[in-house]
Amino acid sequence: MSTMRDPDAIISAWLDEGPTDLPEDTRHAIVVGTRAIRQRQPIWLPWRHEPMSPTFRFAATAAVAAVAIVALVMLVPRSNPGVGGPSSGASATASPTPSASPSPNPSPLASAPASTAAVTALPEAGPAGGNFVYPGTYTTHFEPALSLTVGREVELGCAPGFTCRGSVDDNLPGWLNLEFGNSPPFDVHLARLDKVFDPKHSGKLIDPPTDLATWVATLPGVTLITPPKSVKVGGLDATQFDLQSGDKGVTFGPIPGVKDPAFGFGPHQAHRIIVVNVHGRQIVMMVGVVDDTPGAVVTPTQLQPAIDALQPLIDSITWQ
Amino acid sequence: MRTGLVERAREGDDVAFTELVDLYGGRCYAIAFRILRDGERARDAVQQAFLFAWRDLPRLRDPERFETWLKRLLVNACYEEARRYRRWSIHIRALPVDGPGEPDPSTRIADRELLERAFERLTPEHRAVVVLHHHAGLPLAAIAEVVGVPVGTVKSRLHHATRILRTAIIADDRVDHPEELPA
Repeated sequence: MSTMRDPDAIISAWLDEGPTDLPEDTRHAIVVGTRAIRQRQPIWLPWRHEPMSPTFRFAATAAVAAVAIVALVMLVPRSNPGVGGPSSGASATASPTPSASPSPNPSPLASAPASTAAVTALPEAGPAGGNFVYPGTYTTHFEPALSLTVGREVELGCAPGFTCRGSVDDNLPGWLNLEFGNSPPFDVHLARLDKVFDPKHSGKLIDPPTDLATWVATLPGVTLITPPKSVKVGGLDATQFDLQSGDKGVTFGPIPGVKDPAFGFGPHQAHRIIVVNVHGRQIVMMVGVVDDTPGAVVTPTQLQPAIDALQPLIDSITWQ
Repeated sequence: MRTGLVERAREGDDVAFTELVDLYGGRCYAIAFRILRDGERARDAVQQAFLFAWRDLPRLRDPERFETWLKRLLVNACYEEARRYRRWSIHIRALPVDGPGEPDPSTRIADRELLERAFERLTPEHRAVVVLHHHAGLPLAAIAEVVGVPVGTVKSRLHHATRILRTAIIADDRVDHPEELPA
């Protein structure tokens, strides 16, 4: 008489089959990547909006800018698909075929055609992982809901040993932050401003003005690089301009659902700002250059490549 | 010694981190390979996990928890790889047996095929629990910590996944031994 075998033993034996040593090319890719990625520091100092002494405010702003930029710059290992064993059929390396982009500034990294019609959820951000982003079309947690397409932005600074990818730094209902490249990194933020800081009364929150674009463009300490002009984002009317902060950082308002940081940027930074009203909700989009050098200055000239590279992503936005 | 390496790596010592890669890399690859059933994607997941670990190591307060934390990063990287792969194809390749882990003679070819097919039906979350339990030998509480869910959820996932795998084998045995089929 025969007896049935122990299924658990068979499962364990089956699972024990297979490799147990890390392939050398993967080890090498990790070692190379380690040297290319800076470590995040254990603190995150936001742009705070509580009343502070001028001296402390200046020091805190400088520290915030430095820490924030350090944190952002470390996120993006890059890859050359030829080295380090990236995925084959599943590789997310963008197609080399450029596509027409409605960008007014044709990008050297023009958006790749969507390699798949599938729209998937953007990975979560967070230290537990899962915040790399590969070419594709994504929905996000951002409200109002939108979809966007990540294309050849991932090829920025794509270094040997990695599958080309960007980083999702924040994927929240009030704040979306994607970063690409590493020399230097470029980033794009979307924030929903339900309230803004009253420039006349420190720490006081007020409703965002109807003409939020003009309000932002005329904030104290801000210098316009390019004048406001009308553009379309996802088919909706928007206002676009470039500006640069002075000795102090610029804060627009709190990010809904986020205690810190407030939405803004540090001193001597140039950014492209796009303000769009989506079904009555004020959205501020910001494209910039991440520079972690203490006291770093981002000039309009340095900003332009970031605009060129990330404009296709902005053009891909579709409001749901 | 390992704690010392973690502390050094946390301070930015990439040589120490490389030693950690050498210490834990094989174990991580073995787990990722078994969850994903694909060498290429397992390599990507391991790479991603270690790079996240390097990047966020200064935020790890307790160096003693490095291995658990690393496994958590790895499992999350496997989830992401699995999701990414599913966007491109629903086909999951059969396990190629390579490296030092030779086929176990007690596992028949038919068993492997059955288990592969049954494993394909599991979500990455269920696979991770199966691999961490049956292959890595972690207790349920440790698995819960690694995958970031309550112990009860781990139990539930393990029960569900194991039942599917067992069913595949038992069904095959019943075909082989029809006299044991229930009356």
